[in-house]
Amino acid sequence: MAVAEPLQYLDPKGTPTPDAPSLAEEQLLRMYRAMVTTRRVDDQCMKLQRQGRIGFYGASTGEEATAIGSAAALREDDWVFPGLRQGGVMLYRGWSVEKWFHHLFGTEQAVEKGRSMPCHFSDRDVNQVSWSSCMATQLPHAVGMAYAARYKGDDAIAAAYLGDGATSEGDFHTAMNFAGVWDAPVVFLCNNNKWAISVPVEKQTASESLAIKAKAYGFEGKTVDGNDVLAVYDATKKAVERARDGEGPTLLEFDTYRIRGHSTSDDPTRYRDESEVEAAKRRDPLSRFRMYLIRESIATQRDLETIEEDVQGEVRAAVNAAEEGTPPPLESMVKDVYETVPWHLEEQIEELSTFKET
Amino acid sequence: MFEFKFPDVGEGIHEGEIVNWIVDEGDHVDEDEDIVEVMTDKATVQISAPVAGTIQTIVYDEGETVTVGEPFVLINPDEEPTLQDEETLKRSEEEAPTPDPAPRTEAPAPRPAGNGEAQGVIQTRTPEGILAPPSVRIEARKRGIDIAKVQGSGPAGRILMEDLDQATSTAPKPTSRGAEMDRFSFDVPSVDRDDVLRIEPLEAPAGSTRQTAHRSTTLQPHFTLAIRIQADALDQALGQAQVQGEERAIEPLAAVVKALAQALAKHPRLNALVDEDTDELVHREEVNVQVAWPTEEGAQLRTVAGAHHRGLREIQDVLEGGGEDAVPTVTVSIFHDEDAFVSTPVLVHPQVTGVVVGSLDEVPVLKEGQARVGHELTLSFSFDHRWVDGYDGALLAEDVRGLLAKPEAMLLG
Repeated sequence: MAVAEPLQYLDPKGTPTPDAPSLAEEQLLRMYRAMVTTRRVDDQCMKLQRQGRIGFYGASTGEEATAIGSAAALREDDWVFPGLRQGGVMLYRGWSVEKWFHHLFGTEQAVEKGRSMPCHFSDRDVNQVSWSSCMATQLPHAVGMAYAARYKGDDAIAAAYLGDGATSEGDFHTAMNFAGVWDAPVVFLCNNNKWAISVPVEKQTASESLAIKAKAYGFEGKTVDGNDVLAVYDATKKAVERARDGEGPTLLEFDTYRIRGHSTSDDPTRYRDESEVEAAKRRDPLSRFRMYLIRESIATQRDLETIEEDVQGEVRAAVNAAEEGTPPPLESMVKDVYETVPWHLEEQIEELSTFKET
Repeated sequence: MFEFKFPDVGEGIHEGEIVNWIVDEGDHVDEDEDIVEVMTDKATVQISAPVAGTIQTIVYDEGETVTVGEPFVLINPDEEPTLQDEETLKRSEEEAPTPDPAPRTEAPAPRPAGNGEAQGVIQTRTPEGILAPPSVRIEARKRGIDIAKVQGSGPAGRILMEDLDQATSTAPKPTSRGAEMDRFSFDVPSVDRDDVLRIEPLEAPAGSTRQTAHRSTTLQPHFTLAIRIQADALDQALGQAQVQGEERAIEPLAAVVKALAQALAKHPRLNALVDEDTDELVHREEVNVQVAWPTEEGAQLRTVAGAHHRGLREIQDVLEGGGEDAVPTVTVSIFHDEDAFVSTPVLVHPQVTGVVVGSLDEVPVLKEGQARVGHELTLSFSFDHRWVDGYDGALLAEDVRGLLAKPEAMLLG
């Protein structure tokens, strides 16, 4: 659909173009580790859900480069407003795999103590608000936060993630319009993974691309190869710098593909052809990045295998720790919303505790 | 004993049907290893083992329906369970009234009342009112039998596997041209026979080039890819081998066989045979290269078994000595015309890869306005496009090119 060729620095075999950005070795390996962790955690969670050990999951397999590449271009104090499948952003920003699994097992040790929908992560420690299953609602929030930051003289920016489906929502229009009018320091990061549950992107818009929509709101839109982590990084970095320098918002469309179903409750074989998925797998962002690292002698095969084994152990240990976690106390149901628990909720929890005994 | 209770694999699923057991009783499984395929209202999914251990009892057979929460397989966990295994184990022991840690050969199959009729197959009523378990349905689909027309001999007219055999024997037999031909019908023009010199029948001995070509071009859509290889290093290396006291030169053909075999070992999907009966691609472990070896009586097919582990000299000796007895997985032939540079290799069915080798020629090489004499080798590849796409084919060609352009590693091997 995209008319302009997406920005690409690494071809599917990991060969860089001469103008590819060169990042410090340490950062590249941190990015690789976060991508491997995202992939591995997704695989593990899909298995756990099918075994009945966790309730629900949505994997980001095949879209890791969009999360990690963009996360690497953000500053620690920037804010992240995720759509879906931005767990990798949190992992890159230092969120632990153990917290991830505590969340999914809904333990007392989890950040939200089991009170949010599984797979809808959030944590103040990494400046990330909750994932939102309601389409595009996070976008006006992100613009508001960005506008407020500038008003306060703070130079943090907002990273507002969305999917192709969200571009059909009214909130998308509202957010884009306000961002354009106010020159808000926000970057819209759109994962065009071609499928909004079972609706293909062709049925989402009559525009020639998603990126071009930015033009109508008075700012730049750009299409980027979402499976090329260097292209995602570079495009996000430039957009973030513009936003921070007061030059206004940008919309980036990451051309990628949702390899698995929308969630564990979805069977994509009912609405899309397997050959499409097989073709997308050949553009795998992780193996592309891996080949780049080896080709450019940034790491040896053995170095990368060590990272992979290490991540494997970390995931195993985290699953065990979370399964050992304690269930949240009943009282936690009414806590953390109001500063002090209001009388009617006090009464309800008291009444509930009498049922518990019988 | 770990009782694996049937999980809610979607959101609010009530029950699921066992489609296929990937493991058998007595098999050992690792944690997270897939063990069964189940079908729910929402999706068909694979379920993996939550613990490592031995499959003790499969409680529900293929075709049966399990309610969420029912134990559907019993796993005897390994000796040293992980912390989390112990946890699950403890939980299941608390819940099970008669825990039995010792392995035993027969375990009671707890089934909910009303389920589990004769032969362990439960009635599965479909919207069309046909009674048949999925295993039978799948088999019927495989054999091309319309299940609606099969007379069931089981209770309440349920269709059993044996009933399919009955149906098969009455179905029309596929013609000798293979299953693929039955899917199409062609209008063939009648040929004018007024001016006839001679009429030649297609019938040819089994395994003859003519028969193989007819089969492969009918069944296998070919796509062809030709590459030119800068072969200065190869020419020099082969020349040096001879200088170093070897009585005979190593032919470029041996190097091509070796490079192709090494590259195919890396791309096992292309070192494969097509099973037309089951529509399956059988990937092969060993790369057995068949060469159409030119002799005075025409080309003779000679095979080098496991060519990816063999040295160049050895490959050449095998080819000169008449070949070895092995099922070929790829075929290499040689140009008959020295001036030709591209040719379509005709696949040797059921192989999916074929190669034609050109000669190693001198060519002018232009660099910075200066001409010098270089060497070039051309290769043409064909692939079965049903199984191999352009990208895979190109990857193989590029690997072969890489090996032949820098032959040092290969010569040492």
